[in-house]
Amino acid sequence: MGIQFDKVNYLYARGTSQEKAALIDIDLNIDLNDFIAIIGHTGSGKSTLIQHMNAILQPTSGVVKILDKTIIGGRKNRDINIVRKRVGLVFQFPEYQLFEETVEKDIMFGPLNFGVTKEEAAIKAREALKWVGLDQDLLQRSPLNLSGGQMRRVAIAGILAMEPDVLVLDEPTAGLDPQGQKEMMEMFYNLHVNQQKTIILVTHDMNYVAQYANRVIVLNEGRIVFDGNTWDLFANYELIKKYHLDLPDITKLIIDIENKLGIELDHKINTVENLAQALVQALGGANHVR
Amino acid sequence: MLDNIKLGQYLHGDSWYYRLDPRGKLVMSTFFIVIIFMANNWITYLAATLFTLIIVLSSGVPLKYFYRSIRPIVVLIFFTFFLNLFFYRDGTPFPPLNIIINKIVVIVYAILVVTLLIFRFTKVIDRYIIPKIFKYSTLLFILINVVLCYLIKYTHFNWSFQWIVYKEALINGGYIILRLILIISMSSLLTFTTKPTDLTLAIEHVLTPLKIVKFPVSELALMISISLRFIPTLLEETQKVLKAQTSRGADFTEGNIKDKVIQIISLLVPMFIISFKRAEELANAMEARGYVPGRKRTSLRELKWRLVDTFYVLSFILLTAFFIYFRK
Repeated sequence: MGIQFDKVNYLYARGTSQEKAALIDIDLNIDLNDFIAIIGHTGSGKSTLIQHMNAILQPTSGVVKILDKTIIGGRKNRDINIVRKRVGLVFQFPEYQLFEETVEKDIMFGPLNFGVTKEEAAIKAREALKWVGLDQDLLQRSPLNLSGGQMRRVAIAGILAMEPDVLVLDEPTAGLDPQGQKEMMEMFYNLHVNQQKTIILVTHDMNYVAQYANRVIVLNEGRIVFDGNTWDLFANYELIKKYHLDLPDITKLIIDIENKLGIELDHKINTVENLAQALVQALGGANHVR
Repeated sequence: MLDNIKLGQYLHGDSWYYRLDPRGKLVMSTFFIVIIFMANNWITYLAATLFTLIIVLSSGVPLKYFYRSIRPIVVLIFFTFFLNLFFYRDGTPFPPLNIIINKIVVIVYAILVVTLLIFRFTKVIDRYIIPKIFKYSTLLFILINVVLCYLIKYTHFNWSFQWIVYKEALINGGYIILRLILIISMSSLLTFTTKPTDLTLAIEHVLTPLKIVKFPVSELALMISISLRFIPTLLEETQKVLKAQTSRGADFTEGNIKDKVIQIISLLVPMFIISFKRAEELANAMEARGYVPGRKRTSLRELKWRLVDTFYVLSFILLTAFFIYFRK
């Protein structure tokens, strides 16, 4: 189960002069109930990769297995629509997909497309709105008159109402204020913990990667160049440098402290509290400080 | 889905034709469409063909691009040709092509029936489902067949019709095909070798006399160039929204008409919102940079009329003179 990529290649603008390989020999195995971050530079193939996860794009060659559905590259695959119910894909700036007269109707659009009855869809809309932390009295408002952050939450609720097992998010925090970003990430983490949703997150912000992801996939020019534990990546400075990745703020701080004070700290520390404690220990002054 | 739409036909390159003044090119390409209708015998058509060939070959644009722009209207070209064969009713008959039409009808009909049946059955085998033979459309098809057979057998209507092709119709049809190809080649050449911005600049210059009657020429030109600029951007946005709605289970290829309408709306509403938003942003950006409608603006690119352009125009006038002298 989960999502498996087997030697997946994808060519853009096939058969024209601008033909370009967006994905090259991707082998990937995504287990359910995981929290995975996908990082890489603009044009590294992140978006193309995640669009294969709900069969919006189909491989030029290779095989993608999405849950129990197999998508074979270079062939016409039938009945793939059902995959999209189980793998919810939230695009960048999803607020642009809102179109209905009321928030309720917009959230119901997804479930209704997958054959849920109107009554059930309405119940799901209510629940989804709760998950994204919005008030129920928004249901009858027009989604186009909400604030930017609210619009994005409604759009995400529209995906959640389909009750997908896997949630794929393409830079969900882009363009939000810092507080909104934090709330948004907390929301996804809660969905992951409380509802056992598999989360696949595309982001540029290493702080969120450090804070939430168990596993990181680094893409570069259409190839997977790193796939493994989050802290193994941030400990691998050569790789970070080679692919011009950023470090989480906390890791940068740890390195700064190490250089300034000439001590050694654990690089896997991921909260300020833990860092403070480690510092106390490293400086051997626990008794004095307290 | 929208990958294959190519906008702006401009091809990068450099030759004397590229360097011509866009005003001359624009006006002469239009002029060519007018004068080509003066040609009506083999010598004038030969002259027009040679003239176009010389320009096309020396322009440095690969011939395959001309073929590509003619390809979409091949059907139209042949349709006009056959229409001409059918309705031209004058002159000397051309026996090899004169046919009793009902024989053809029967043959075409038989082929149609066989392919339809094969198509149906292979589809059935392909999908491993209960034969679709009893579907409504098939029943209707069989019904029509039975009725037709009955009519052919039991009515005394005369089913043979002599279709006469005239020699003049054939020649004329050939001229029509040639004329269409020449027109398309010349106008394609204009868009292949002129940047959209230069083209709008040329339109602005050509329409300048209309300013006397208070026609907003420069505004129109600006509108054209803005539209051209935003077509690819909006196409890209459409694709994004299309993918987002597909992710929400919208199926733009299957489903009944009612579902389709809702799904198209789910694409149209976001596109309207995005377009209005972009328009507002652009308007603000233009105002911030001091754009005032109707105020005289200078242009970054100044068009320069050179001797070559004069020769280019003269060549068209010579062609016209040739047409006037040699046409029937």
